[in-house]
Formats: sequence, structure tokens, C-alpha cells
Amino acid sequence: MANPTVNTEIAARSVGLSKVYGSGDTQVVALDEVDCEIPTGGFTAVMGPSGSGKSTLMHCLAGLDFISSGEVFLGETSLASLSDSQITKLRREQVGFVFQAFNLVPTLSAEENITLPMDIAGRKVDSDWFDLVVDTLELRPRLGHRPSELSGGQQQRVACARAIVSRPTVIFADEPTGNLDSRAGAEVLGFLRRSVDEFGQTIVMVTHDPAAASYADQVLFLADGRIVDMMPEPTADRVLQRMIAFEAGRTD
Amino acid sequence: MLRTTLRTALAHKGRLVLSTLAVVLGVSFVTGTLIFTNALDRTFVSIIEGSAQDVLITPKSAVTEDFTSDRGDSEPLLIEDTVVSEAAGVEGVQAAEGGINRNGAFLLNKDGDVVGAVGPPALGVNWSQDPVLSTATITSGQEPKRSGEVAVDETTFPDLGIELGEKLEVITPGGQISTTLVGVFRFGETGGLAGATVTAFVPKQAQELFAKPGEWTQVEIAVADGYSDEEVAESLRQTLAGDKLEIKTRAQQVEEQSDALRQGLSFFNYFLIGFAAVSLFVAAFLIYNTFSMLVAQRSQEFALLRAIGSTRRQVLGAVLTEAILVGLVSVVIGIAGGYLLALGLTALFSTFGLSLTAGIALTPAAVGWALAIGVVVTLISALLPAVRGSRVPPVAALRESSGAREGVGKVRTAFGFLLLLGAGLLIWLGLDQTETGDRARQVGIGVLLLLIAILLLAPLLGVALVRLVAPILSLVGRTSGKLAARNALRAPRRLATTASALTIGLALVVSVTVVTVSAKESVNDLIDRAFRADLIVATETQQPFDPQIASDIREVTGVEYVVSESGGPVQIDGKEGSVTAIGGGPLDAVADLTQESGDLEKFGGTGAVVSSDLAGEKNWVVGDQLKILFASGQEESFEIVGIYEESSLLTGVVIDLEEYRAVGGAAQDQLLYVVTQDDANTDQVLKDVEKIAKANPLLQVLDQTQVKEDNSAQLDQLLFFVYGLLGLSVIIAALGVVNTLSLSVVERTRELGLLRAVGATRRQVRRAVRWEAVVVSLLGAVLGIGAGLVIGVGLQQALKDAGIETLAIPVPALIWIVVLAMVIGILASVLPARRASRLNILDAIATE
Repeated sequence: MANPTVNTEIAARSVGLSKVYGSGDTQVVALDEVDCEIPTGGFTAVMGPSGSGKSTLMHCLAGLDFISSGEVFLGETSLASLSDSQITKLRREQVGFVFQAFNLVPTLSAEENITLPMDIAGRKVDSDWFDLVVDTLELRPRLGHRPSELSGGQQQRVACARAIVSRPTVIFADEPTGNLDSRAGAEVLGFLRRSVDEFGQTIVMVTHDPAAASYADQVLFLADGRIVDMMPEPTADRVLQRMIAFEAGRTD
Repeated sequence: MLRTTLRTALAHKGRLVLSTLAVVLGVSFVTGTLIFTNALDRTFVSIIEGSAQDVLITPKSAVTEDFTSDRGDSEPLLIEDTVVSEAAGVEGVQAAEGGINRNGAFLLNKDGDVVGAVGPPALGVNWSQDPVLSTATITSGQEPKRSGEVAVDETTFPDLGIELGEKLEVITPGGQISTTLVGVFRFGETGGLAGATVTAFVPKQAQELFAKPGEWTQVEIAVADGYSDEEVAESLRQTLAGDKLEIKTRAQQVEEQSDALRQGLSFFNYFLIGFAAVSLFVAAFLIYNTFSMLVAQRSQEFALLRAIGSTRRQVLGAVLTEAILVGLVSVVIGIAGGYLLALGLTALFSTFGLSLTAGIALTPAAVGWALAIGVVVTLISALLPAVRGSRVPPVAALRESSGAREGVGKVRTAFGFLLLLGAGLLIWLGLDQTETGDRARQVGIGVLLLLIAILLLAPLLGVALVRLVAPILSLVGRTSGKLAARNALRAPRRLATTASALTIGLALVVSVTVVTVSAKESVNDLIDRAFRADLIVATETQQPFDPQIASDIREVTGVEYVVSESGGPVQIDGKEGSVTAIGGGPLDAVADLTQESGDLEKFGGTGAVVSSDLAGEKNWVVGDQLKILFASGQEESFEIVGIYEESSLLTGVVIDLEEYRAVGGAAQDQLLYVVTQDDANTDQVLKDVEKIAKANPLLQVLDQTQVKEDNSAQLDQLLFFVYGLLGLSVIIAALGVVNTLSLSVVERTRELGLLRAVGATRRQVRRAVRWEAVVVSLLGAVLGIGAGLVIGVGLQQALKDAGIETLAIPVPALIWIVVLAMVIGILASVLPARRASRLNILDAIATE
């Protein structure tokens, strides 16, 4: 390990992280020497225009994608040297996901979807914690339903419950409100916020919606594969201003 | 539109490969069969043509016109030498020569084993002295010039392992003789007789061995130039008076023999085509499933095409065009495969001693059938999915693709239950029929309907089965098992179609097994119950043998008596029939017969006994006189002294052997029943009898256990042959499982990706797919075994009176079938599972 020092305040971080697709003329640098830190117990939003590399950064941090060079730490573990099955196990234990398209297993009930990562890992579900999460998300009456019998907002709440119930080190949320109307979206964001405040959960959320980003503790701005700015205590307005400034800068 | 179709077909070629393969296998089987049987046909016809004479005179049998049954089991009918000279004087006859041509010249190779297979004849002929009439030419060595010299045909020669000039042992109807091999000849134009061995002697010795001195089995006539065969045949008929001769032109000889041959071949043909049909039926399920899934996956695409202005018919056309493409590609590959299959079959048959000298050729009929079957089967199977595709409304293009679950199909289920009821009723009523034929027919139709009912109910049964095994799956396979069970339930009809393909093959396997094993057990029971003889002496080829053997065995210490069996075709009261002749010991040494009426003890002399079935059919009662006309032309009256209950060991009219021989029946035995004394040393008796039987290498000595084993071995052989043929349909069904799983993996890309994202290892994903395959094959096996048992038991019950009295359920075989099905499922899941586990997670979870 390049950096043996342990920082309990950091849930995930990258050091000189680069991700390159293709080679030669068709080479595309998606991430270019990115250094970033995701503080434990914080809600971090990653923003940037399309193609800025924000999704790639999330995938690399979550161990979903292999990195080209540099280092990624999830908790205290460096991902670079791990095999696919080791990464899978790490993901299973330390990472939760919320996707834009909900991605629930259609053949499983809401309850089964929520406990799916625990079932896969062969771990026992902490029933008190499960009850707390389910009640917080107001999913109790829906537990026996299949995803196709749930509304979009309900499905995404099931996805949130699934992400948090295994108490992961980090939850990665990829445009979680992208497929929701504003009311349902606000509910989901409100829950993510509460899970940080009340349960101390660490969340990384990729979004392009300034309003969504305003729920976060800090916002990382990405452009052309680099982190170009960081904004603590964001508000929707300031984020929007910042984004507009980017666009202006880019068109110059 | 065609271009779009071609593009999509090419884009989906991976998914179509397996459907193509399924059709290819079916088409290969059909064309292979057709090509092969055609080669068989041409080989035999060319042999028949090569050995035909311009005009052939044969003795007319008094009792039957069926001359193909010459196994040497009756005294040969002969023609006096004077007929030859008489014939030679008829106008238009260029040459006339007496000839010998008879089955019963078995050659021993250098190891002392009989050359040639069981089945094809071993002909003893005379070497024709007249070059005009000779159908054979010497290819090496020389023709036989004196008694004791022989020539053999060139296809038999290499199997002898004996060089020219060396000794060659020949088993003739009169016993084993030692000869010198002096020549090798080519028969007709093609060389061989498709497995038959032909041994040529000088005419005098041929007469001594296979006829009588101065007599012939046939007279061969060459017609002079300027005369037609028909003219000469007619003159011969007028000159050679009497109704004892059959005079046939070349055309008649060829036609009659080819007809008889084709009848035999057509059975073989139908048999193979039947299995090909099963395979194609199974393939149709696979194609149906493939196209259903492709259409479902592409419903958005179809909706888009409809939205931008394609008509329903264009969409329908697009899918059907794709089906035709699959069909055509399959036909081309299938024909090539069929050709190879025919080559393989030819090679296989030549190892059995049956060489197809005519060679195999692609016939227009084979190509035509391949084309019709391949394209039509594909088209029909794809029709329903295509119609479904064309019904996708344009608005579906704008909708999120719904993962809506499909039901079991209410109409289908209702219809299935109705059919089940009908089938049950038909079988139930059918079993009450007294006539075996009626019963078999009615039960047969019943079980067929039942099979269809089961296929219709398969989705319902599938759901029930999966629900049943789901807890076990969850327990054994944990999350992977649970996901597999749920996924199987997601599309019950698809599950059912995939499993059904397996069901059909397995149902046939199970029913054939049940019937065969029952037949085996029935025979064993019968042997235990009614078989009296301790030893049986017979030849494998049913070739009759010297009665001296029986006399010698009678002298063995410990032998109580030896009963000889012979018999042959006769006319009874003017109708064709046959008799069994028993002598040398009491009748009940053959079988423990149950007396129904009369007195079986009175058997002997002109007192005959008949079986109850035959007596019932002919309305015979004890005391009736039977006028029996024997092949020799002699007639004799027999009185029915007893009627015995039908038994598989003895059937029909049984007369006294001495009486049979007195009226010209063959002087030889076909079968000996040896009964030992109670205190005999059976091992020693067996050894002594075997020593005596060695005099004729064709003879086998079997004790009761060996009779059972022999019977079992024969049935097993049949069973394995059928297994082999059904194997094809099982392979196609396995391809179906592969295909459905692969397509279902593609369909579930996102879902599987998500599982990986939330921590499922590749192994767990692989397992989920594998468990699903196990569920599918288990369903196929359960339905197959269920259907197979009902069919098998139904047939056994229907054939109760036809020798299959005992019902035997081969439990170990059934367990093996379940295991086999699971293994097939697991093997079928290998590729789809690997594909599922290698999915790129990012692709899988990416929003479209």
C-alpha cells in the first residue's frame, strides 16, 4: 500500500486516479489524475456537465470499474490490487447503490429486494435496523409487493432501503432522482439527507440537478476528467451559478 | 424492408444459431435416412438385376408363393433334369441350364468362426458351365472344376483369412464338409450381394449338397436374339406342362424381388423417418421459443417500425422472412449433414457385413424433402411469434418496456383439461376392449391425446412443480436458487415450451423402456413358469441342422429325452398357414401346456393339437379333421385331439414330427429341447451336449438362464437402438434449454448486472442460471416420466394378451433418466451461465 496512514474520517478516496478508454488515436481520458476524499458521515454530490467523468469517478470509487492508474481506497482497502471476486465481496460488504432506473429484481418482492445484498452475502438481516429503515421510508405496507406493483417513487425508496440496510461504508447514488417527478424526488433526497444526519451514513451522489445537489454537504465539480472546484454547504442557487460559470468558461 | 430484415437477422445471428442447429439436426436425419435407404435400394436392385436371368424356371410351391422365406427350413422343391433338356428345345431358347441356388452354405474363417452376419443369406450355388448364362466372373484363381473345389464371391473372400489353394470348411445342410478354395468371383456387375456370402461348387456337388443328384432348384434360360423374354416364357409355359413350375421373365423376377425388398426397406425407412419426425417436432418447440423471445425483445423495434409507417403485414413479413432464412440455411447445412450421416451409416453397415456397392448419392427426393421440411417447419414454428410481433401497437415504442409477467394461458389450460379428460376416458374404455387390436388402437390414440394434454397443461404443471421445489431450491441454492425458481415462474409458458421439448423425448424413452422391460419380465416369468427343457439347442440363424445331433444327445448320461422341433409353411383346408412338428419326446417337454379341451396326451401320429386362439379364430373343436397340404405337394388329414391354452412357447397347429417327415417335411431339426433326469449332473450334461453341438459351429446350447439372457440381450439391443434414435431429440431439446437460457440471460442483462453490483459473485450468478436450467430439465423429466409411464403402462395393458403379461416399472432406469435430465440441464447451462457471469456490470446498469 502506497499510503499506510489510516484516516478514520475518510470513507473513500482516490490518489492520482486516471481512467483511460481505448488507445492511440481513439484514446479518451475519462479521469485525469483525480485526487479526492469522501468524508465519513458526509453527503457528497458530484456534479459536472455530460462527459465530465462524474459517473466514471463514481464507478471507480465503488469498485464497479477498473482503474487505469493511481489508487482508490474504499475504507482502508486499496482496490487496485484486488481480483474481481475480492472486489465483489468488498462491494457486497461496504458499498450500497441507488440507480437512476431503480434496478430492482422484478421477480422479488420489495422486502426480498431490500434484503437481497444480505441474502447474497449470506448475512443475517438485523431486524431492528430493517424495521427502522422500512418505517423511515414508509415502506411497511408495500413490503409484499413486486416492483411492477409499485410507483416510481416507491421503487426508488425500496432501492434506498436496499442500499442502507446492509450498513455499507458508502452509498453511491447515480442520478437517483433522474426518473422521478419532483415530489417523489424530494422524498428520496430527504431520506438520503436524514440517513446522513440520523444514521451517520456516508453518501456519494452523482447528479446534474442543482436542486438535488443542494441536499449535500459538499459538492465536487468535475470537468474534462478533473476536479475543478469544491463547494461546501451548497445551495441550489450557488450551484446553478457555478454551473453556468463553467458553461461560460468552456465556451470561451 | 427486406434489407432491414437481413440486417436484423445478421445482427441476431448468434441467437439464431441454435434454432438453425436444431433444424439442421432434424433435416440431416431425414435426408440422411432418405439418401441411405436410396443407396440400399439401388444396391439391392442392381444385385437383383445382375443375378436375374432372361427367363427363370423355379418349382412352384404347393402351399405358398412366398419364395423369399427360403431359410432352408423345408425340403427344397426340385426340378428334374429332363425339364432342362425339354426347355432347351423350345423355340427362342439360346441356352438352358439347371442351377442350384439355396441358402445354407456357411463358411468358416481361419479361426473356425462363421463368416457373415446373422440375417443375410449364405448361398450355395453351382458354378455355371454356360458363359451365356453365367452371372459371375472369376477375378482371381480359377473356377471350381471338380467336387471339393469351391469359389467364393469377392466381398466374402477377405473375411475368410484363407488364401487360394487352402482348405475351406463349409457347413451345408448335410453337415460340415472340407473343400479347397480355388477361386474368387465377382457377382453381377457390382461385385457383392450386400452381405450375403456366395459359395460356388461344381454342379454335381452342388446338387448333392443342396438338392438331389440329377435335380435342380431352378432352370436358367437365355433367350436368343430376335425373341422377347415374354414370348419365350409363354412358349416354355406351353411346352413344360404341369402346374409345378413357375416361369418368370427377367422383368418379372426383378419386379417381384424388388417389391418384396422395398416392403422390407420401407419399414426401416418409416422407422427412421418416425424418429426424424420426433426430432423435428422437438425442434419446432425450440424455434417457436426462439422467435417468441426475439419478438418480445424486439417489440420496441417493431413498435418503432409501425410508428414510422410500416404496416402490420410488413412486420409479419419481416419475422417470417427471417424464419425462411433460418430454414434455408438449415436446409443447406442439413443436406450436407445428411450426406455425412448416410456415409457414416454406410460405413457402419459395412462393418456388419452389409456393403452398399451402389454408393450413396444425393437424390432429388432427399433435397426436396429437406427443403420442404426445413423451411416449412421453421415457418410454422415462427408463425405464432410473428403474428404476435405484428400486433405490437405503435404506441409501445414510447412505453417503457414492461417486465409484465405472463400467465399460464387460460384457454390453453382449459383445453388441456378437456383433452386430458377425453384421453382418460378413451384409455379407460379402451382397456375394456376384448380384442387386442382394438384395445391397442384405442389406448394408442388415448395416450397420444394424453401426451398433447400434458404439453398443453405444461405451464400449469410447471408452475406447480416450481412452487413445490422452490423451498428446496432456496435451501440448497440459497439466493441463487431462489432467484432461479422465481425466474422460472416469470414466464410459465416459456418454461413449459423449453421443458416440453425434453418431455417428448423422455416420454418416448420411458414408455419404450416400460414396454420393453415388461416384455423382458413377461418372457422370464413364462420361462420360469412353463419352460420345461433344461437345455435348448439351436442355431442363431434358425438354420436347420442334422437330426444326428439329437440322436447323439439322447445318448448322453443324464439326459431323459430330447424333443426335436421342425415345421414350415403348409395349407390347412386350402388356406395358407404353418405347422410346428414336435417329436422324439413328450409334448410337455417343450412347454407346460394347459389343456383347454380334448386330451393333449393323445398327441401323436395323425393326432394334432391346436392353440386356443387359433381354434377360436377358425371355429375348430376337438374331433375336427384338418386337411393339411405340405410343401412337398402331399396331403394328409389330421384329427384335432386336443386344444391347449395359448402360450408364447408354442402356438398354432402342432403335429407329430415323424408324420411331418413322412409327408415330405424337412429331415432336419430346427430346435432341440433337452430335458435331464432329476438326479443328473447338469454341469456335466451341459458339457457333453456342448461337445456334441460342436459338430456344427452354428449351434448354440443355452440353459434357462441363458435363454433369459439371450432374450434380454435381444430386447436390450432394440432398446439401445431406440435410445440412440431418441437421443437426437433429447440433444435438440438440450439445445432448446441452452437457447432459452441464453436469450433469457440477454433479456435480463440489467437484472444480472444489478446482482453483480450489489455483491453477487460471478459464481453466484452462474449458479442462478444453472439452477434455472435444473428446474427446466427437472420439469421436462417429471412430465416426461409421468407421460411415459402412463403411455408405457397403457400399452402394456393393451398388449396383455400379446405376450406382455407382466408389468415392470424400471425404477432404476427412471432415476437415471431424472439424473440424466439434470445433467443435461447443467451442461446446457454452461454457456449461458458463463455469459451471465461475464456481463459487464457497467453495461448492465447503464441507463439506456
